[in-house]
Amino acid sequence: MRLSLSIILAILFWVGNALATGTVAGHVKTLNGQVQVQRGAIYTPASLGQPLFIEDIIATGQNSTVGIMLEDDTLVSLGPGSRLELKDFAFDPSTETFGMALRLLKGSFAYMSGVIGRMAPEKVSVETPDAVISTHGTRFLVKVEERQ
Amino acid sequence: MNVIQMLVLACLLLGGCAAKGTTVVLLEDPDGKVGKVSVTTPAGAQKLDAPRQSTHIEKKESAPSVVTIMEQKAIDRDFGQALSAMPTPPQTFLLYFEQGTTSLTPDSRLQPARILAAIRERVSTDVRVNGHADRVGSNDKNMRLSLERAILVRDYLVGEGVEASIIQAFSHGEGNPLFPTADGVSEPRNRRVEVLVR
Repeated sequence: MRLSLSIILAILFWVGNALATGTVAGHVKTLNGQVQVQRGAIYTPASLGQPLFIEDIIATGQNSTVGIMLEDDTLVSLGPGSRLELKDFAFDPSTETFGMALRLLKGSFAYMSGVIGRMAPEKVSVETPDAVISTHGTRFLVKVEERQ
Repeated sequence: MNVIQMLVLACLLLGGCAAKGTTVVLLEDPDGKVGKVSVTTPAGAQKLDAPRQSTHIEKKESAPSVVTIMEQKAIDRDFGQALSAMPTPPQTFLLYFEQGTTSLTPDSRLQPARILAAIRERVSTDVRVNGHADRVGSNDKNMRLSLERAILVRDYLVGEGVEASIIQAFSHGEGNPLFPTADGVSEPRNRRVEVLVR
């Protein structure tokens, strides 16, 4: 039983890695409490320093927080009970390819611009279920309270 | 007093009825500058351009509310935990070298230990080491020299236990000066290694 479980875990790990060959959007830089990364149908506990990819959803539990540095030095963080999707990200200064779309599905969120926010602010959007936020190189906060 | 007024009063007295929907608050940058944010729904838009300005959107069919100023106490209550989780911004270090050598200047000798501390503190997974030279000597010589300077810094960090795979070293030769000079000029401020810790 123990053996078969470890084989299953190994396969899950392998599949997770195989799925993780997309574009790196950023890395987990601060971590406190229960934080999960949802990649497709697979949930894994977040770990410090781990890479995050486009379409990953990061979810925090009660009294838990996470801080993320995106590849262009944009900083974002989540308070407890939050869900954030890294919907799209593109950063290649040599070809002036810039793009960032984040979706805060619920909870609390802090944002500080990086290079994309300075060089191509029109390419940055933060969506919530209710609104779209666009920014000109700055720091802001967003909170989404779900309706029951 | 109608029902809505009573609800609003109850919220104020109880100090924390979570309003359904989306709330957006603008903050000033750490350097004191204030940017702009615009919030858009199918029904309208609102601009925020001063610190702690806030707008609320009840649902996407409604326009963003008029701008109000969010009290610091409310910001701490609703966003304190998210703000405390913000990563430390990337940090840049400069190390200067003696003319034509890979010897650090006396003032730069404490920098490698500071870089190491920064890497450990922020659990960095991305360190970029950029070597540079001034314009004394040939292009080729300066390309080699700036590479040797970068490698010196990289080898120190690896020797102290930093994972080699997280460090990228680059050589810029004399082509990327902080202070442009004519060829052949000795410029201490260009004889440097720049280290970016992310």
